[in-house]
Amino acid sequence: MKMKKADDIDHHPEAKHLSARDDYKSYFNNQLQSKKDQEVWALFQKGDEEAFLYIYNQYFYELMDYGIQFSKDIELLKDCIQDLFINIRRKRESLGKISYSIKSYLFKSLKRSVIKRLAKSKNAPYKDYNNTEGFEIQLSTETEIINSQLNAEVKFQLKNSISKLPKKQREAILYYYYEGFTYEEITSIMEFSRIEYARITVSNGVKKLRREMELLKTKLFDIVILLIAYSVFFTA
Amino acid sequence: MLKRSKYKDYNLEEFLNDNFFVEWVINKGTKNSFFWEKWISNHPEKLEVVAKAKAIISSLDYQEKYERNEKDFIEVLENILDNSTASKTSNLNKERRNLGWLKYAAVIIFLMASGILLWFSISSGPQLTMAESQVITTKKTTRGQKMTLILSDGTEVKLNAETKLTYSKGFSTDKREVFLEGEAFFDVSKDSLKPFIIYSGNLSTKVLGTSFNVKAYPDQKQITVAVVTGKVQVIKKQEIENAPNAEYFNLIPNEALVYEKSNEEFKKSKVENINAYIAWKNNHIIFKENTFQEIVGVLERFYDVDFDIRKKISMGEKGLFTGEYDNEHLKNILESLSYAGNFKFEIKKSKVIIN
Repeated sequence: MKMKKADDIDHHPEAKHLSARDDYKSYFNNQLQSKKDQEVWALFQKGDEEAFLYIYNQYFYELMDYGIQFSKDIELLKDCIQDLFINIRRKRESLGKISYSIKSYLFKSLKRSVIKRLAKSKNAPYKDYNNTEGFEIQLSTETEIINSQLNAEVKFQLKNSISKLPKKQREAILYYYYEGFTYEEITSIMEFSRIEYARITVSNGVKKLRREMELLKTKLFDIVILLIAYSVFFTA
Repeated sequence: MLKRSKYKDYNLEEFLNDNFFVEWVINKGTKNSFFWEKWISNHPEKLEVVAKAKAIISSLDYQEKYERNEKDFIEVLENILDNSTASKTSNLNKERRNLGWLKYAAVIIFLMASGILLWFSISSGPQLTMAESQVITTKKTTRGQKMTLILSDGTEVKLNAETKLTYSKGFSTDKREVFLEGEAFFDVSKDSLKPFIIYSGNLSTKVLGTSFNVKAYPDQKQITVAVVTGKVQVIKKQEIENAPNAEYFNLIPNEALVYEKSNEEFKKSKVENINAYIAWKNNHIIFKENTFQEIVGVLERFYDVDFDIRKKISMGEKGLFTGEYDNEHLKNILESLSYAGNFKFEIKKSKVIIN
């Protein structure tokens, strides 16, 4: 039982207005969020529908963001994601354990099916996966990078250098820094024969951006806060 | 930690290529955060380069992104759930263009898979079937009490206060039947050959393996079924045997069906907050635009108290109240209600006096 302080008695506990999607989240969070991917996957394989909904809820939007790198045809992407889930639901018992994470498993499967589908259809805008489009990188968070005159120039140069990176390097960089995949997962998704190639692809990309990145000015703000918090907690 | 001493000579590029560092920035390992916070505080001269590496990593993003749309999210989910009962995948692109046809097909497949059994249960009447099984058990809760049951097929049933559940110890070979009076949350074990049927008042709720809430107190005007996962079918009991047009509704997750006993009308709706329907099982109380009378009913059951209402109470201007409580004392809930309803209250043993 929670005890309330006398002075907040006149506050009504606020009613939460959540969308259907958030509801799934808040309901399943308690039970599944603390579980490891392997455990959630095992539950799903046993036919646990909550585990399935949890997985769907976690990754639907991420899969759409990912799929759009291959094709801008939203209906096609929805179909592929739908097929992907129908497929793994049907075969759930025979699927076996996931090697790394549920996310990289789903990404890899989606990549395959989208490419396959594009190869079949003739008028798709991104028919040929080996073209140079897709996986364009954007520097989004303005808050952490100072908006000075000098910086605007450096950022322009950085964007320019990023756009000149080969697609494979952009793809690997996004997997590593944005999606948070390990080199093992990148190796699997990009079908490299050796893990070194994943590492090299990422670091080669970074190397080309080095000069511009060195010139960037950033805010120290959040790290300083972190430091203060740290010293308050641990040096007292 | 000696191995980590290399970091003091790291430049920007080296930080960006360091797994242990990148993991910390993209927030995967909390274990790393302890190390890095300590390390930075010991190496303030590296603050700038660390901040820069961190800023660069966290600002990388896809240029092209999907514009989030809940309709897509739900449409794909519904199609996946609909398709689980079908025996093969077909070209979904084609199906989407004929959405009406798809829905129709889904209903037919669902009925074919289970319709025969269902038909049998309606025409022969549940009472007869129950009489055939030998051991019949009844579990009851009183006010302020909750109970969790595991049935012989592994189904978990949580009974809310003042609820009665009747079932046979071993289910029959072709279906699993229970009788409910009151409110319960069902987490039904999957068994596609033996549908699980809940009889409550005029309604039977039929499922294969899902979780959902049924609220059917005899003294309330409505019966409510709310679905959390899976698929549920609610069927109205037929007056005449073999009536051709049995009224039924298919429900999917986040849908609720309210049956008005007085005029025998159904209302199906999308649920904005499914938690509101199942909150009771975790000792949460959620009110969503409820009248004072409804609130009193909930509190009486939940806390096993009787209300003695000595003046007319209206919650706020519209007479409706919304609020959420987590394991709260009755006194605190009344406290917050009393502001909205402008009343005074007194708790005397198991009696609440409102004036």
